[in-house]
Amino acid sequence: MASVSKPITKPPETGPLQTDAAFKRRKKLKNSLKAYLFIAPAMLFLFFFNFFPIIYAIFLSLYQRISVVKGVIPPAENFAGFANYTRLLTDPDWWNAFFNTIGYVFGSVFFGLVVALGIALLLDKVKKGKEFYRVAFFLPYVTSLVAVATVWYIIFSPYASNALVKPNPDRPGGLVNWVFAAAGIPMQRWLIDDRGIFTIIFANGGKVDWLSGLIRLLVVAALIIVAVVAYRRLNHTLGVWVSAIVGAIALLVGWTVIVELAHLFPWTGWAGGPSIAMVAITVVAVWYSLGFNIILLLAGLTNISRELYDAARIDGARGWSMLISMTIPLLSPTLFFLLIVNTISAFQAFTLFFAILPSGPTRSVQVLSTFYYEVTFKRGSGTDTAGFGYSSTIVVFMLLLIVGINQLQQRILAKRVNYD
Amino acid sequence: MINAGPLEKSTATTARPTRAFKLPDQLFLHILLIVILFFMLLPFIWMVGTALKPDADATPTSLSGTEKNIGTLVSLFWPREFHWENFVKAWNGKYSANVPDVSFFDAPFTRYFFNTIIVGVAETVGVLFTSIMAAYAFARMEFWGKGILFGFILATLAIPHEATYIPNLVIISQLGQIASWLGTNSYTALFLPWLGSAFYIFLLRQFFMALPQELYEAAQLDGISELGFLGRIAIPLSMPAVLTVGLFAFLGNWNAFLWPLIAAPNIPVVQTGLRTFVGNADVQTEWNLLMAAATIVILPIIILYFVVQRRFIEGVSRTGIK
Repeated sequence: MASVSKPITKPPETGPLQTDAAFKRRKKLKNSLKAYLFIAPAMLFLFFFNFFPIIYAIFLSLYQRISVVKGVIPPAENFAGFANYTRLLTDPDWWNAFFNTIGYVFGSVFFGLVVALGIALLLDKVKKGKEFYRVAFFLPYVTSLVAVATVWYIIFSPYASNALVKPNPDRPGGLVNWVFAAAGIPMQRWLIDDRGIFTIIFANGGKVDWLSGLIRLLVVAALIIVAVVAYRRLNHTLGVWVSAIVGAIALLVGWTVIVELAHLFPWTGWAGGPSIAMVAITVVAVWYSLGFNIILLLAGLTNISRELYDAARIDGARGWSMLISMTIPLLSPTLFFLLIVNTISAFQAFTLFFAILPSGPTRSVQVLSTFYYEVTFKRGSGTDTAGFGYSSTIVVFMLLLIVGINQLQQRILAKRVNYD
Repeated sequence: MINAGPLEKSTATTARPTRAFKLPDQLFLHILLIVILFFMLLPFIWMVGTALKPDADATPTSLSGTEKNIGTLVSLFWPREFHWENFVKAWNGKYSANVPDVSFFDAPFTRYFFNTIIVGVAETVGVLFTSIMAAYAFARMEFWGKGILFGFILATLAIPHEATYIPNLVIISQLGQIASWLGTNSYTALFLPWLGSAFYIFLLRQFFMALPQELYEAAQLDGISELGFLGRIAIPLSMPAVLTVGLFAFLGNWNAFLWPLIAAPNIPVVQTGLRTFVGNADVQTEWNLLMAAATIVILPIIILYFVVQRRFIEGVSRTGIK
């Protein structure tokens, strides 16, 4: 761009020392100063409110008992070295929040992507009205999380004035418990129940009837054979539907056996699975992020050329084999991007937990961000595990975790991602 | 899978029978999608339905335990009688029954909307200004330290907002020592920390870089300054990107919750205002009013969404803004 400068701007002879290189340097300096003026506002804000806070959080994490910082530098007698870090690593509450977060991230990201992929694959096949579905499926994602979390809070409400009141079949309260009551399934105190989900599902098994269990297993096997045969032999559409219906019946019968057999195992502790409250929140998280994931997956699917599909079809690829050996590899850049974005946002999830749990999270749904909030603003400032110092330590750890996971995913997955 | 199509038949016969087979496929597909969609939008149907219900049907306390009847499925979603005044009640605050009528300008939700829009406009204009300037410089200008400075901007992308809350709170309260309009509980506090955005700079830079170089050279020959080129050529040509960034900045502000809660608890915005409708125990929560309030908060976004939905979806699918 320097090449098109007008000759008039060239300074008149200032002696033989004024070489072309010197002129260029002066020109660049002038340009640089102008550019610095352009970037100065953004840089100023980024530095003060984005970059500096991280440095400051690391600094604060070396202090204790600072609830409200008087002045930017806390008093010297509160300097604690790495005491906050050792405390963090031995704090059972923190470890609880840590493992809850890991579970939540896995659950919400995995199911979020699988469900979105399923819907996106269906949407990709729609010929007319795709635009309508795109707009409609995206709707939940544009609405504000606080508002929809409030709606879900009502939907999951066990109709209890507080956590101590048992669900009452005559007053099912929220939508989910209404459906449960109508179907005769025991109602649950969804968002305030710390018990593992398996503990509840499998505890109803009662005695095991071995003979009937065996017979039912045989029935399941027969149904599966029927489903497979129907899928292979009948014309395509009919085959899919017949096999889907027969498969669903097989699943139901098989489930009764599984429930009975599972009764033999004590579903306590880790084996109890995620708590009911965590499952409920994960459902909401999956629901909320579906629109975002579907839109991006659909964009990725549209980019896969039809010729490739036709070619694969001629090679004999159908249904699952087409999906696994062709669609998913070609979609891997999108999937990979979504994996990272979803993981990071799941790690930071705060608003959902805060808004859907008005009386605060119970132990099983305490995640890092809510724990951070509790330490910062809820605990008494006198205790050692309260205040800005300890909570800054949590922030530093969260930051390390997010950056670490990001790096790990890049390392492991980047090799398998197809960028063609 | 459903639409894989009967290849064996289509190769053997003409196109006609194939089309006859394709129709049910598409029909099943639409039925399936509509069912999924219905379940996805169920919370919204439930929200509006509950918002319109009379107190007796909506609040959990009034569903008396002596009544064995838990209602029909339809009654869950379709109000027995429509109580549109619930929206007025919600607009006027939770306990409007006990509180004397307030004028429209004093009503809580008027204040929430006013606060949110003021802050939203300031933040959108501010972040657009800083981001456009910086993006333009990084896209079109040569200067010393460009690579390092851009690397710095990319690095700040990895920093989650939540991680900066406490230090920013300290900074804001320090600024409050200098001038109270900069400190906590000021409008400025709500948007000041978010005026620099690495992501928007990155996004706009991509657009500015895509502009043809000839345009720039021609403008220089005409003696148009950098600022003139930016204002008269670069921005108008990148209007889709600029509007997308503005839209997302405003929406981000509309949905902001935690930062307003801790930085300016005395300036309620829509999201923190909505929270006042939630009691600590369910009995204190009036469901119909809560749902009416949620509808009030969500409705402007949904309207905005339907007006600019194409840009919205394009913006998301092209940039991956989460």
